[in-house]
Amino acid sequence: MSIAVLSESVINQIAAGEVIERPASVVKELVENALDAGAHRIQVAVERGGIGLVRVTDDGEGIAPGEVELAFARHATSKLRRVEDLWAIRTLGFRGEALPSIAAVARVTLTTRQPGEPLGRRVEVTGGTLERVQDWGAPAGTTVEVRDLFFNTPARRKFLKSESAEAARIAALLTGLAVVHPGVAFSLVSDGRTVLTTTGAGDLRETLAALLGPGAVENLLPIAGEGAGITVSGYAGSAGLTWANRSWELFSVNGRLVEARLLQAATEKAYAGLLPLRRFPVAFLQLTADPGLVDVNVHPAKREVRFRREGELFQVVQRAVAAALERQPLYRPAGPAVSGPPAPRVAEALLPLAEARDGEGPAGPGTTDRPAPESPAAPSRQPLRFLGQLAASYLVGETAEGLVLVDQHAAHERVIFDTLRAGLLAGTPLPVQTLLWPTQVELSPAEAELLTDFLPLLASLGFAVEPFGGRSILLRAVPVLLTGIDLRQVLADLVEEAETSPSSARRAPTALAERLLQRLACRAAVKANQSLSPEEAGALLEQWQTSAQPWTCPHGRPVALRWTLAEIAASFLRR
Amino acid sequence: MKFTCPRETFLQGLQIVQRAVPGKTTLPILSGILLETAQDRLRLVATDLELGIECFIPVQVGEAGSTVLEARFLTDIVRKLPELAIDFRVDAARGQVEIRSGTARYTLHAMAPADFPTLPETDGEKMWDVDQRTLRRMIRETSFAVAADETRPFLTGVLWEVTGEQVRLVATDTSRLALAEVTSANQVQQAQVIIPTKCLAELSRLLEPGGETPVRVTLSGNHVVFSLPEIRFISRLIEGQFPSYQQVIPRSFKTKVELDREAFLGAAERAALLARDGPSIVKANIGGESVGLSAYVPEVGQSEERLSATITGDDCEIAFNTRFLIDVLRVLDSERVTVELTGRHSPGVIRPLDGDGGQYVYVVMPVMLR
Repeated sequence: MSIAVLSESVINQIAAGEVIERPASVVKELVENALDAGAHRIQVAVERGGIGLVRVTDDGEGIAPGEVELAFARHATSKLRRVEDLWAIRTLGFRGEALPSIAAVARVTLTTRQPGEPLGRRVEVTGGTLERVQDWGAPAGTTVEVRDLFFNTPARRKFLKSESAEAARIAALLTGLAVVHPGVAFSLVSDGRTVLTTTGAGDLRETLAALLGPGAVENLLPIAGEGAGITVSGYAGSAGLTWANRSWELFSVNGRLVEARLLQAATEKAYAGLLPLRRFPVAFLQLTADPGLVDVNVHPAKREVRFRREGELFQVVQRAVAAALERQPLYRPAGPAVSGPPAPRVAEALLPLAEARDGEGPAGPGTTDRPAPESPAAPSRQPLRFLGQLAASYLVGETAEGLVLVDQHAAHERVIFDTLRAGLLAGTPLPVQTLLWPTQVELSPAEAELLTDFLPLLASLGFAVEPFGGRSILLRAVPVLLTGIDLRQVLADLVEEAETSPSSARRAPTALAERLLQRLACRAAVKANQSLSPEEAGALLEQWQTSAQPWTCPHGRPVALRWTLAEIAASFLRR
Repeated sequence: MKFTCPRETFLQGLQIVQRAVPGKTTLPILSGILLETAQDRLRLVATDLELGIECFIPVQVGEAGSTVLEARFLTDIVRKLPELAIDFRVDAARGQVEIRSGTARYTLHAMAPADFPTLPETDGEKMWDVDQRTLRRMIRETSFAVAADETRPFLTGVLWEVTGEQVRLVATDTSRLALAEVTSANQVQQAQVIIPTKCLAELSRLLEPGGETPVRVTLSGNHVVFSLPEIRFISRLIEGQFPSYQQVIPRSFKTKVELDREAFLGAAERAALLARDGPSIVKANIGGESVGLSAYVPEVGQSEERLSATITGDDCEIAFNTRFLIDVLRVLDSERVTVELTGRHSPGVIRPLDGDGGQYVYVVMPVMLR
């Protein structure tokens, strides 16, 4: 084949691939254009996961009749004039790639009318070719209809996931956009079904509630932080509000929804030890920064950003989220589910997304996400009076608010874990009980191998461990707090854990320490089905309440549940 | 089956065997008490399959037979009945038992006696004859030191060892060890068994502090039997090799402290007050003519106290788990105790001074405050 210059339509199709990967990209570009046009109401309708149809209708300023055709020319933009402007971008779209890219791979109809104009205009483009332009009567604003996406690029079409997975991506995308723009009323209708609506009243909390379900409001803790030239605001979900994937870890920088591993990592660090295994937090962080500190032009689809002062920013974000979490109630709301509007279908719609992304289901809100009952803003740590023990496993107590159940094992685990970690962090060794005889411990090959990873840590905790030929070890001393612990069992637990979790990052020193302390605390703590004297129970509750992270056990399971007197009265039909 | 007996006698028998009824069981028959006539006596039996208790009471037998009744109901009913004779009548065909006393009448559903586990019949070979007072004291002085965790079962019981004229009870959790020994003439030459603590605890409740009636201890296969007049305790033995305890008992010391036991106990208990949920640690500062006890708990505070003592040898500073001191000082009954130490890394030894006969040694490992 001889070399030839590509025709413009081919160039456009290739370039389109950079921006338009899937139906969600179409929605993203169109909605961002609508936002840039000053829309207050944006309605999105999709069919067959957006492959059949994407229609975005806005009530924005519209496009002047003379410029409509130009909108389909590559690098035609109303938002940028000079290179220097790139550094001061405050609009969402700026490259002028969106419409021509979409038009290159679909059948597009654009209808627009500026509020002042008597008549609007309608343009039809198919596969990048302008088919028809005509004057058209229309409401003020712009409607873009995109049909048969990738009809002319079958290879790309093949790479799409199932329709429901694509629909889920769109739902996730609009969720993010709705959160970033609480002043805009969004709606998403997928195959005739309303998936998501927000009021556009401008209240972020209300918007989050509309998207997460009414019960979630109780669990949203406001975030406020500042530093490294950046201001952080938004909401963090309490430890009781978790998700099966990261789809509710949302971040915006200067009003633009971004993906940033840095922000994700900093947020999750603040939740460390508070969430169950494989559950993720619900958090929306708004960062406001001098545009000079942020580089948004990393990826053509503009999803990723780079920051100038990453280390500092990490600290600022982590601290802001952690500070918000400190205000969550000590006793997690439990009790009868309250009646109210049904949870929105966003969660449901997001379901296939989790499967597509994580390769593991089930997703959606977890069992702990049940709507929290209405309660007065609880002082976070009300004094607890011990009433008794339930099933030799739970400590029953009362506060001024109502009834509290504390999982004795989880609470004790938390206490031991905190003590061990404090000793390790401060470098102040714990008291060590020496033994009359060294205890000989026989290890399996896997346990013996794992032990080498943990030896230095065990030693700094106060274990005196010596090799004793083959796979045997001698234990000569044990931290007083852990006397009676079966070290072999702890190692066996760690082996099992290593087999079920991915190996990457497992050997990081902090991860090792965290895992060891978790297992030690678990084995040393009182078990369920162990009766405690009132004195023991009282002492345990008292010490647990002074913990810095009393809400969950080190594995992230909840420690305390509460039922308010109002809920109890309601259950007895007293009101 | 029919019998009549005074309420008081019946209740006593029930209360003795009831100690072996398990609190929770997956085997319903074990929640019952077996009642069986044996000539002019009634045999009562309860077991959790580890410990079995058997008791004979005199009754007027009308008709021989046996039945099993739910322990809880039976005991509660008999306890509340008036001080009159109780008539017992089993309707085997209906599986019912009728209990009458005065005008009160109960009909209870019975369980099948054939389902009730049988206890070993023979008592086996004699190990030791011991008076109640001595046995009670030796159990009390040792069984508190057993290990609580189930990972090493042989440490959850008390070692009973006979060598020639010595009978020894030893218990340890590897951090401390308690040994009580008596010289006796009523035993076999050689024996070594580990007996579960639960059996010993229940047994010692029955023993009278001043009792001189001998208790016969016999061994049969993997069981031990404690026989009192009309009462037998049968317990499974714990298998496993008890650690060689002799080597950890220090033979010398560098510091010897003699002090008042109750004053020492009181001070240790006061030091323990500061600890919250975790273990309490007390530091002993030995020198001159006193022992200084101090405790420090981060975020709570500290305590200090001085006890007058007779001290010979080197000055010494050492720390212990306070509970390990309190435990032993509570079970001893001597007025004064001695504490022998060899530096802060070596085990300490506590002995009663002018105790209630026999030899007693308590070895406790120190805590390192690094």
